[in-house]
Amino acid sequence: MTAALETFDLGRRYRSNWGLRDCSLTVREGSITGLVGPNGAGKSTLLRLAAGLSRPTTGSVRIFGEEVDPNGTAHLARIGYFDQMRPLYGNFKVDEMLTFGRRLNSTWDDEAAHGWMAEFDIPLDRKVRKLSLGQQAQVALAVCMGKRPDLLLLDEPVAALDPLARRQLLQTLLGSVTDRGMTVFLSSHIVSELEPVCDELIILSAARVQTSGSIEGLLAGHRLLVGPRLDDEPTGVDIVSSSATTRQSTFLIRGAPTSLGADWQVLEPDLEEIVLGYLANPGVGEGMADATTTGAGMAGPA
Amino acid sequence: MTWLAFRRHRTNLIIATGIIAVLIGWMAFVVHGFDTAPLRPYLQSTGTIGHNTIGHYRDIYGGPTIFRLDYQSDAITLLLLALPCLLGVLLGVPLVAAELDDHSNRIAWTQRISRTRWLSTKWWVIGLPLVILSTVVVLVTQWWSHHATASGIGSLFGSIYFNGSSRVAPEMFSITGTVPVAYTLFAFALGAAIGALLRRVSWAIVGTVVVYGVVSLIMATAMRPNLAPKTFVANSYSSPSSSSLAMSAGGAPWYIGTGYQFAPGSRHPTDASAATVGLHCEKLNAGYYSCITRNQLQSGSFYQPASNYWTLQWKESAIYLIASASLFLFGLWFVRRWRA
Repeated sequence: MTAALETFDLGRRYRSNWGLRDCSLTVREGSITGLVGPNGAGKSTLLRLAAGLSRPTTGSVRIFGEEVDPNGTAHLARIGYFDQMRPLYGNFKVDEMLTFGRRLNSTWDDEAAHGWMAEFDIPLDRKVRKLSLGQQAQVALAVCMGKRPDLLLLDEPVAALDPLARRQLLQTLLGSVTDRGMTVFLSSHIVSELEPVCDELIILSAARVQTSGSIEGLLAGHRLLVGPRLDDEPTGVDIVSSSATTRQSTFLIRGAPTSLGADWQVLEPDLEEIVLGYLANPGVGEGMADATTTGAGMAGPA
Repeated sequence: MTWLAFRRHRTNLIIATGIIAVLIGWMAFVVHGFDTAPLRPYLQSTGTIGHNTIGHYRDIYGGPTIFRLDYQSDAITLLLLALPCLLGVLLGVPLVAAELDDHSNRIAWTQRISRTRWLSTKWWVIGLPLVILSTVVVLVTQWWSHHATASGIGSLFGSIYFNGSSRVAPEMFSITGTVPVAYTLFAFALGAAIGALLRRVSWAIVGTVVVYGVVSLIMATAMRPNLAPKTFVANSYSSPSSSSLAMSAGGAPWYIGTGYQFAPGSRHPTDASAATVGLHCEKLNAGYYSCITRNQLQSGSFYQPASNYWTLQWKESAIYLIASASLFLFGLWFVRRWRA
């Protein structure tokens, strides 16, 4: 199994603070990998580094085994990058945006790009700046799809869309990806968006990767322990996060549960509970030793 | 990429062409006015004209004072002086700054094209029409100034353009010959570089105007006077200066300023320059004349003779072209290392 995207100890510093730090991860070829984390966690930084728009302060990024050179064009042939800000040329018409894609790419699938526009009913003769934010996102995606990339890097692709359009977009995306064998790496701060489409998930928080793995692996690898209120954290279990009401304590734990007693229940958490558990405690999983060995490409049935 | 560069910047290119077309039209209008001015036959027959004729001229020419041809010529001269900077702001500043401003560089730089090609294509797609446009402007300027001078009307008035009518003096020097094209290219490169550096179109406009103005000022006051050998005319109270005639070959010279020179054939009493010694003497007040004599100094005026016109033009153009090339290289270096 080859990696579509690999990073090694990748870090990017902005003046005094780190936008991304010690990030080692793998996006398996052919997978749809989600990147979740709160705003400012470093998702966009990671995707810009992968697209060669930004230059690493430490470590390196590889696309299909080749190091990304921001001044080179080798990686550009293989990626389709969707920026969070959906930058487009505001005074271009929609079909001029597609011409832009055709002129700047030696391989260009005009049918795919126009098909994408037709599917979402975007008028080709409308100026880009007169479109709604959701439509602008579709135009940017059409340019990505027209490139016929092997790896799609999508930074918050559905953020500007209404719920119906989100579902339609993600389904279309899923269809195209399976048809063409593309790898997709997409970020979102909403887990519920990613769960239905993604095979794998990477949780990023406070500039570091907290954990990563297949969705099945994550679900199977975590349990909720619910029981009477405990003021101290129990020992012997790998606790990700804990919460408590006046009568009851809940622990999200990693790995196999050890029973804490008869009045303790072991529950299967859903993905959102797991993600929120990690995000609540940015310090957990920081060592990364766990995440890289049990992480993407290793854990769970691929 | 050629398509993108043109499509992205065509609006500003059209505006620039429009401004230049209006300017050329205006010059043609003024030339027509000079050629048909009612006073023209009179001026040509007498050669000179008394000051009382100014009012007369106005009567004949008619219309409000503001439309007087010499005033219009002044306005055109000012516009021509500002034109390179205007073009630099209009076409140079948005070249990189507009993209960084709205982040559209992110979509351009992730297509299958290198940043180097992205910028260099923009340069020639915009730079080439710019050079052609400014060359046309220079040619029309020559035609217009020829008619203005030939009409004789301009020399009546103390207008900026005709003051002294020297083609080496800053106003006329800067709008004729090869330098306007070099200025335009420089302003374009400067706008692009400052735009890249400041990342905001609005700030970059201010920055470009300020830097261009300062560079022009330094060039005109500190550098250009020394780009070719100056002529020194010593103050002479006894006899009319003999060298002033020789100096005026090819037209009126550019008066640079007063200064000092060691008297011809004198053995320099000190290693210091004439200017330094002269300054020292000036501080002595009462001892000034004896100091001047003791040091065998002559006081007088420095000029750039009109015969140096082309030497100055070539040298100054070369300086501006080298500066433009450096700014282009800077822009390239900047874009290559830019982290979006």
